[in-house]
Amino acid sequence: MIMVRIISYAEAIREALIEEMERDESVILLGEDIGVFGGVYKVTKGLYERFGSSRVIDTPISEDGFVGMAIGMAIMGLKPVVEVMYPDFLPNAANQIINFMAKIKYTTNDALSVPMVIRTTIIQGRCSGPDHSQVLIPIFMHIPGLQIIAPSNPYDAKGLLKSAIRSHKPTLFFEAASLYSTRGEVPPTEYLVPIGEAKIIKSGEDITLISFSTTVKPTLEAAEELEKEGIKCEVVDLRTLVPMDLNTIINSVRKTKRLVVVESSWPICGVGAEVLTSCLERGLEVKAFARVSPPHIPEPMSPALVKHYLVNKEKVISTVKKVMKFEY
Amino acid sequence: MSFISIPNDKIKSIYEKILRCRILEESLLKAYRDGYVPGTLHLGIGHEGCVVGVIEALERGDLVIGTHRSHCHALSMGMTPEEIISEVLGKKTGCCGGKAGTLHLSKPSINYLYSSSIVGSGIPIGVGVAYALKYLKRDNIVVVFVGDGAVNTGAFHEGLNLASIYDVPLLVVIENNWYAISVPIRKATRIEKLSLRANSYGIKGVTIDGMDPLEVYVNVKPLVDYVRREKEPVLVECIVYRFLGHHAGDVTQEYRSKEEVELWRKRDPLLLIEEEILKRNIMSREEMEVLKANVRDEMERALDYALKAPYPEVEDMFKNVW
Repeated sequence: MIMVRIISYAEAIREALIEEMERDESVILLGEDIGVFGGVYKVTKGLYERFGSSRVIDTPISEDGFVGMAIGMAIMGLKPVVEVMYPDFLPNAANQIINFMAKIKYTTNDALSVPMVIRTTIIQGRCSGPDHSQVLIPIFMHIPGLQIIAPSNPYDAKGLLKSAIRSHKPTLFFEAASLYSTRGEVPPTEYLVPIGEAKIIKSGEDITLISFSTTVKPTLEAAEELEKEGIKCEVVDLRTLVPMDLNTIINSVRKTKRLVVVESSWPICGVGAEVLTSCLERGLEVKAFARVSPPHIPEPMSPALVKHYLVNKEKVISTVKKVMKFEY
Repeated sequence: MSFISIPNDKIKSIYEKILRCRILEESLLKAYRDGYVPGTLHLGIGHEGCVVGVIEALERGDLVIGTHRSHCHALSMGMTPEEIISEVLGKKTGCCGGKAGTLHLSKPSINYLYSSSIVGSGIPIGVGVAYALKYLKRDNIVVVFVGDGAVNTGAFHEGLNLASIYDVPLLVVIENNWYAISVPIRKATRIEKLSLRANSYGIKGVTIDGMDPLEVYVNVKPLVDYVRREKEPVLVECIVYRFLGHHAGDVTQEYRSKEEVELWRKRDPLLLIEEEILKRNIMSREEMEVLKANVRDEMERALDYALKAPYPEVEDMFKNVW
């Protein structure tokens, strides 16, 4: 009998942490409120009791400090996993991330490496205003040396986090806060999901839709509706932003010749710009292209505005229809 | 330990290290003026009493993180002058294969971990290193050197606070040379003794005359022991003076007077220790001259080696990014 087990995205991440901490004593967690409180998203609930205060470290509000501290632990061979509550707090630690986490291996010519993971979130549309909502992934994609992962479902979240912890590479791991309570199938036995492999979650011949993390669901829903109207979309979940799985993208676009990238980050110098450029640079014929993303403005607080700001199924559908008619 | 009770061997060892630092950096300056240094060069001539005094107080296995001005730290920890000069010149034979330069010297195998060229940022990293030492049950400490320019960074505050709450074996040494490039410390903070900052974190803070290497050694040794024993961070301020400009090209130095520099030169750490050596009859003037000639030879050979050494290959550029 095949056992099917359904757990939430948050539980899947917690399981990944527990399994890796059981397996390897050098895995240590640190971040704000992750101890007795279990983290503001409750992902680390029970870990403090299980592993103790030396391995589940509550930090003061000091992102620059504790991200730097994790780098120091990592160059000594520990494998810290840092929780940064909001991605908007990454800029507080940007000096440590950009100048040290991403570069120490290069500057020391491999004498030191930085095997650490920063877990943070994608958290939009909660009416928290412009500095508690930003998807800053493209900023960090720009920096050589960082591995960037953003899973869209419990299975990938668990398998990718475990791979990230074992990868021995500096990693930014973006968890979709809106998906923490969503449930999905996760096997009871151990498994890993390889880093750097996108997944085709729906096959189609007419157009390629690229999505990641929170944009996977509206993209897939849009594709299903479009199919009823005869437009066959191929939907790709990138899963890893850096290194990006260009092979999967290119093979799909070679077939469809039309491309829409659905991203939660802003359009300028964003994921879509990178995906299209990568296709064109390789001589691919792209008949039409468009991005679905929030407009290039800060996320407004008001519920009356934010619903127009966010990416949704309807925007994907209307963009795809436009792109299907369009030709250069 | 009192000043008087420092063994002669120790004094000799401190002297030799200071001499090597001084002559290494003079060689680097010459190479810079001759046009061989491709990038920038921050020299610590005048700081050697602090640097060597602290490093001589360490035990085997203790770790050091330096700054953008750390040729002396690396040399005193055991990096070869060939590795240092090669790195400064961007040669493949450098400690980092020529990919890092003067700003990022590193050789973990001799416990010289890294140079943090972003001012202040070495402290949080040092906290993590110290946390790891404690977690791994190693009886070692880590020393993070910073300049006076670092004390007003957020990293200084966040790092020392974290060190104090996690009780980690970290010694932070401020090389206070009075100027952050051109801005005098008196214009950058109202606090007179930078070690007073320790009060904010409930930890020990001490200010030491950093020009006198033996003064540094006798004062820092018990603090090193304390950090090791108590697993508690300590903040040390060493008052030093940078005899040259902020970088080798900073020759006009509008921010200070020649008289001020001359006054400090009278307290040159090299002179102070030579006086002490003569006073104690550890070496004669002639013996010191022989030693100096030998070190000059060593550094000349090292410079020659580095000048002749190959540059990295183009394919090296793409290695060790990920």
